[in-house]
Amino acid sequence: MHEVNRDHTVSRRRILQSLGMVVALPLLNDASPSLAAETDVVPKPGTFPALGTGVSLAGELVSVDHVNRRGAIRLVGDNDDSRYHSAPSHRFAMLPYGTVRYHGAPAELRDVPIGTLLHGTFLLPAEGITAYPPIEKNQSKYVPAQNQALTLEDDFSFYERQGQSWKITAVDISKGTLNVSSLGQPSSAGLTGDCVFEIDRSTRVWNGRAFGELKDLAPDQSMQLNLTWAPEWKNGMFHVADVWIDPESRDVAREVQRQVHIRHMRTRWLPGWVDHVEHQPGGGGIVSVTLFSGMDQTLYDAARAEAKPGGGASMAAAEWTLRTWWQEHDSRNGPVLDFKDSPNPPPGSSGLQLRVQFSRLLEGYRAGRIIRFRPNSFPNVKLPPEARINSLDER
Amino acid sequence: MVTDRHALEDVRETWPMTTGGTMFVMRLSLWALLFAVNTEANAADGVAGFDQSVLPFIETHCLRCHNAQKQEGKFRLDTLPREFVVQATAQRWAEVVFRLNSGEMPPTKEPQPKPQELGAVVDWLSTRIQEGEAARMAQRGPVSHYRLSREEYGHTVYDLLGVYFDVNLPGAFNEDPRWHGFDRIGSLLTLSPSHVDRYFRAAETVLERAFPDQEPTSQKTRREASAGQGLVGPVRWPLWPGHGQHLVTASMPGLYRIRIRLSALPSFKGRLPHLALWHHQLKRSIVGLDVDAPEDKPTVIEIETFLPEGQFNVMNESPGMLADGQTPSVSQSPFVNTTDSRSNQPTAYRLFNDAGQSIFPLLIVDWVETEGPILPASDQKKRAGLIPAQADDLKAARESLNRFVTLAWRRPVTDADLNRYIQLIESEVAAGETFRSAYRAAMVAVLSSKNFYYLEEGSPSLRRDTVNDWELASRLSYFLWSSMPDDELYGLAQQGTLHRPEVLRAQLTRMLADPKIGRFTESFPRQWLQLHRVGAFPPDASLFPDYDKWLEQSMVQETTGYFGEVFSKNLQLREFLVSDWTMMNPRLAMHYGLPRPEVSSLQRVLLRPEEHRGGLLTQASILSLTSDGTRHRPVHRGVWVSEAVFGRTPPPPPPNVEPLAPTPSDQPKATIRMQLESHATHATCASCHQKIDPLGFAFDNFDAIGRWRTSEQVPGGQGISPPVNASGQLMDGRSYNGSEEFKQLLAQDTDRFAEAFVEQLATYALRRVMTIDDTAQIKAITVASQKEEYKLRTVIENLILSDLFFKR
Repeated sequence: MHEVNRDHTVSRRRILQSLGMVVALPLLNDASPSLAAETDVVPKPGTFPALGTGVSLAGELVSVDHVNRRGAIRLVGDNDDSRYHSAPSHRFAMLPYGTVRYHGAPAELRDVPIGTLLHGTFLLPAEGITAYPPIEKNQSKYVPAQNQALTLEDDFSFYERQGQSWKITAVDISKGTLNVSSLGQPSSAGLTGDCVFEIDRSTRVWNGRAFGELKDLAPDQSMQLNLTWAPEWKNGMFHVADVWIDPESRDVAREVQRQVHIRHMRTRWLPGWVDHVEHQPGGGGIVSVTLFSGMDQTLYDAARAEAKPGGGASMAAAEWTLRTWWQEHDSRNGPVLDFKDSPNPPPGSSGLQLRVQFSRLLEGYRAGRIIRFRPNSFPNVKLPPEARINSLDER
Repeated sequence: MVTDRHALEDVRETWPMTTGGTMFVMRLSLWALLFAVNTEANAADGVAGFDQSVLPFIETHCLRCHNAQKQEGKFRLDTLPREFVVQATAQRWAEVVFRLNSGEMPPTKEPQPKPQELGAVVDWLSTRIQEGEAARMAQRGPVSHYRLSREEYGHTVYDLLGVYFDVNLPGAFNEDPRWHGFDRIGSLLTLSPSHVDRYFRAAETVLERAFPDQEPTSQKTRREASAGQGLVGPVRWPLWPGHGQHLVTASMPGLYRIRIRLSALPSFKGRLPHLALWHHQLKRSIVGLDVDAPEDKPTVIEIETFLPEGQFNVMNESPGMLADGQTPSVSQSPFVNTTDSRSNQPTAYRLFNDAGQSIFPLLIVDWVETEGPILPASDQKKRAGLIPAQADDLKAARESLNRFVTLAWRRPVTDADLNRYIQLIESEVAAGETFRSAYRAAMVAVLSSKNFYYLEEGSPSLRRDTVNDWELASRLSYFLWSSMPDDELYGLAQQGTLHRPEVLRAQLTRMLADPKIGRFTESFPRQWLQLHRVGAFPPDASLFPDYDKWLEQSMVQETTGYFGEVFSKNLQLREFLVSDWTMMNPRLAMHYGLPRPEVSSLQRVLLRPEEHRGGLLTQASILSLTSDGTRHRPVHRGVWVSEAVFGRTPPPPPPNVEPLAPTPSDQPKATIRMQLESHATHATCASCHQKIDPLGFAFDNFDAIGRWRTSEQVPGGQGISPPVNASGQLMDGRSYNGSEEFKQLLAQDTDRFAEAFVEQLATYALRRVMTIDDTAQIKAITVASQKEEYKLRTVIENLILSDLFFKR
């Protein structure tokens, strides 16, 4: 079946380029100076990157260390046999303010199945932060230096966010092909126009609130899909892992993931970093924090709601990976004095800044340091051992 | 003893006199000048005063139901005696005051008196009741007994035997009862079986230490931070607030010298760390001081102090931030310095700000040396000759015992007195005790005798109105040294020359120059100004997070240090009311918002007018002791000024006074003054508050712990914090705006203040409450002191040389 797209050589190159390789390819092949200026961005603790910085890369998720928010993708193919034959997977670490979206909703890496094609924006490793993955002396020429993920999205999220969907133009179950054409606003990176993907009985068809069947696929249907590896990967061919063929199925997927995310964040707390500490005599102080972006709005609303008499929040020192130590024990709690919403925040920032009064300050409450913020309405629970940091060496 | 009626008649007789008069009359007249209320009524004190001030009121409002024919509540007023010195009578009149004050009488269905009328009657009766109480407390039989306060007991056994006995240790002695701050009033210092038991145990302890079976030897130990670390670099002990390290041990009670090499880093706000020796068993610090020494220039602090037995932490007693079980976890490795030993544990408490300054006051200790118990030759000399050199030498024992008993009882002893103790020695030896043990048992008996812990004045068989030379020696020494007379005083008493003015004056000069005078300059202001009330209501930590024990101690030190400065420089009494200086240490400077003094000990500093201090009345101790831990209390402040400055105690408040309610949430914020002024519109309250409140409102610019403010923080209510109104008007019409003007008003009439001060000084010196009988002599002392512009030493000297001081 992987030979079915040989008729689409022209469009394949366009596809590959649009799948992020428009940026990646020049990098791999000596990027132009003007392009380097916006891609060689090194994030700094305490400063969010400017809009439009970073490089776009796409690839299939091949490994995940979800506790440390790290993983690896196999970049999409570019017709280079050697690359497909020998390139190591592209290991990455999520920036602390880096976001993951899955099924159109906020997510964690742990929510994304291995094999999912992801679209991301990546920056260079941050200075002063233990670089992970390490940049090796003899770094493979196929591995871009940009390994700090600012965003990661599955196809569903990626195309839907940009207003693009797919229309089925032809289905051939016996041949295992699905011909589609993009609808709506063409995505700035990724696939657009006419494409052909593999399907087979492993493809999950989502119809309404239930599984459908391949025979439910019909021309002119508007849909979203998630892609995965296919044998002709190196030549830009993909297999359809999931396809949502009606609005209700997409709503269900989105809402389930949103609830997974909310449940997770209520126990892991909202990440952010310290903007400023105003020291007071006796060891107390007022800590200003900005929460990171990418979370469900109801969680930000819960934070804002604590800025009232009797309200309050806990703040746990966290690491670049967003892991905390013994958060319900080591965090401090205090009243939320006020909050401020900044319009048009930079990437990674929610724009929501809160000020919290503490009678004691922790070493981790320093400008630029990562914290986890727990509105008092969130549960104060102990995390499982593998989620906690137990020594400085584990960071 | 004169009866109250006599006293009242005396008053009437002496009232027209311009030079004599009584303290009582003058006091009231001055008070009346201040308040200008009911001058006529006050002038007519005594029985005639009753007829003028009270009788018309009673006839109008009371007698119809409390007379010969009808006794509502079984209470008859028309025959109630007017001799307030009789306790039963005073209690009946107190009942009348209570009913009037509470509004219970006259009944609501009866015609009601005007508030001013009611206030005048209550004031008059309350004053008479107080005078009666004072007279009862000052009653003296042929022999007067004044038990030593526990503070005096401690000083006495030290001066007698060179033994430091901590009277404040748990189980040592009960706290002495106080009368308006004075804890040496004879009539209050009664004796119970518990006291006898404690005196006995204390005597045993003191004598065991004075004459131990085995002489103690002084030890010297040194603990070093680097010791045993096996490291090349210098290792130090960081002590964060609330943290200490067990580095000192006192093997027995005594004098110890502790040397500590350390650095002391102030907090980023400039607060110095407070070094303390914290006693493990007593759970409190014994001694403490602020220290300032850069990290790279450590200093050596030497502390020489008496320590009770036990183990001590060298401690950083700055306000504790680590009281919830967290440890600073500076580093896993030994601490070397603040740069290399910083924590990278993000969950640890933050210890340094972004500029690298310590957030908290920090002590970094290198080593501690402890030497002790130190056995000063001067202390050992005190014990010389008090115990026979040879065992079984009864003759020598009698000589030694004679000297010991004479010193301990502060008078010559008879053979009969001695024989009892010699017999005790013999019986103990006969029972198998060693001679030394038997002799010591006799000494215990001597110190357990009432002749030791009671000062006795008078003779059972001879009516004397003045003290003899032996009694005079004790009176002098307990007044100025809070302890027994020394050998020179004994010698002069023995010669019978101490009472001669030239001898007395010479002794006074000598005694004032003796270091023991520090006991007076410390103890008298504490009692006069009622400093024991500082911290009695610990300030609410949520309202006053900066308040701590060291601040509390510093407040008291400012006031006693201030008194000591006035004494040592022989300044005028006026300095107690207004001045451009005070005594300051860094903690107080921080509290007052003043620049930090260069050295950390208490020292005299000049004040500028904009700093709103000077004199006693605006010191944080005074402003705190008249507050309740959550808010200032203008009425308490007014009462305190009345008592400490004018020597007059206002009538007690009526019962069941409704407390000031918090400002309702839907009402504008109201200051305490606003609420009080509303409160004082009630008939039963107004008359007194009109007199008291202006004395307290003057200090409304100071909060409950004595910090300056211009607006009052009010919990609840709506709107902004209301501005402070510290203006007022005295009853004589003079007005003031703020504490400074108020103090100036007081200082305009130093005579009045001086007279009240002499009365307080005499109360302390004579160990009894002053009465009408003493007023003429108090006035005479005041007048004599006026020529020298009321210099403090002059006032003391005039008191000691006065007839009053000799009066038994």
